[in-house]
Amino acid sequence: MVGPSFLSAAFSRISLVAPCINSTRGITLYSNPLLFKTTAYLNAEPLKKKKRIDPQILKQREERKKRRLEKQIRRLEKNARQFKPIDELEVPLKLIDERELRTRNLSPISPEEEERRALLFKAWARYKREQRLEEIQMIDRVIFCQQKAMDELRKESEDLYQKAIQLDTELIPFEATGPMRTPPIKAYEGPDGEYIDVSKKW
Amino acid sequence: MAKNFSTTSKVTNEKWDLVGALVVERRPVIIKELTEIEKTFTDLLQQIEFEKSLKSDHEGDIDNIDLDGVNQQTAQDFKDMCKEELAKFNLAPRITESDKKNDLKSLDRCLDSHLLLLVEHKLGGTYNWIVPQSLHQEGEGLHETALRALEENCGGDLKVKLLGRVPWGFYKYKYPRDLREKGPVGAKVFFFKANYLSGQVKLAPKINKDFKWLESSKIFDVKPDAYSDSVSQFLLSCRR
Repeated sequence: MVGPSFLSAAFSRISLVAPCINSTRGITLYSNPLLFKTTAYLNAEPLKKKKRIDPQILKQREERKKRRLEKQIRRLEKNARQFKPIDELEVPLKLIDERELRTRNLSPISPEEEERRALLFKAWARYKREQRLEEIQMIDRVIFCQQKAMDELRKESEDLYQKAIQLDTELIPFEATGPMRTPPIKAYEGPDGEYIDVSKKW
Repeated sequence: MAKNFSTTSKVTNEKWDLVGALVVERRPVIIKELTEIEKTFTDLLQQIEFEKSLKSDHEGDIDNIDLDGVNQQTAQDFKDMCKEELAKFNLAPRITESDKKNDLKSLDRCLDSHLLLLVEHKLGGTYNWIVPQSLHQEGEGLHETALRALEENCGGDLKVKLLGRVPWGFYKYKYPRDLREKGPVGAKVFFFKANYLSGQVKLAPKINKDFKWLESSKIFDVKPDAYSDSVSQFLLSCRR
């Protein structure tokens, strides 16, 4: 007779003796104790009967819904026409009121001064024109110089030329910080300050 | 039609060495001093601006600053305080120590102009002031040659930003006659341009004797003239 020990050796995961339950069924496939189990869920249940609603009420409900939507649309349309005010573009009322008080009482400009100013404006225009011309010539010169270098390179080696005209992705996006008005102060620590955000919320 | 598409290089029996050179520029830190006309015109514009303006709160006796009623402070007091604070603040000088000592190795010099890196490099038997250059090696682009030239001559500590892979300028010179018969006739130098970012020059010995950061306007002191001319061609200032 083959004893239970043999069976348990053959099917190690099958427990022959359920620990808490004294049952005539000797074999179960679960290793943990067999306890109460609730049904997991119902897969189906009988359909509910549809409620009949009075068509009058239905109509009323729909009406109410419509009215609410219309109201919302009206409110949106009303607000859409109002823009955020731009403070900088509006002259403060205080300034308009105090205009008289705030105007400067300066003596009128003498004709000589006016003449000097007119001449200075003309001289400035000439100066800027010259500067601009020089700039254009400089750019032309640099481009011409580069073109010449490229031509020479192509004469020497087509391969190197092709390598040179490849896109240099390291340059994009290009960033440069311009010259400042004053040189940086070495080992300068900026004073601490409070950051107050005064921008309005709309 | 076929003519338009022909791109093959012209075959010559002369052989030239290809050389990549890197012009490292330190961009100006501060703006230039205003010229005479710029100064007078700025003053005029400010005067006109003043004439057109209305009085502000701090001017005249329109409004006194009243902070919580405790700290009663007049506009004049406030103005004096600001002036005092400004007077206490020391701006860094435009003319630095290195300017006074004329230390050509320092980068803290001539803050308002471009500085170019030059090395006294051994070419053939003699030393010449040139920008770092190196012979082209098989397989690398010319811009890589130029970057390598900088590293070989001035050490790896120097960080620069290469401005494009396209050469900016060109210069060629011939070797001495006895050399010419053996191999290449001369060298074709292709200049690349880079902006200085950080780091210090650590000059490689043997091939280099010295280095300096030269203002770009003084590039014409570099001999031969043809060389400094070709370099200046793609700089902002050029020989008039």
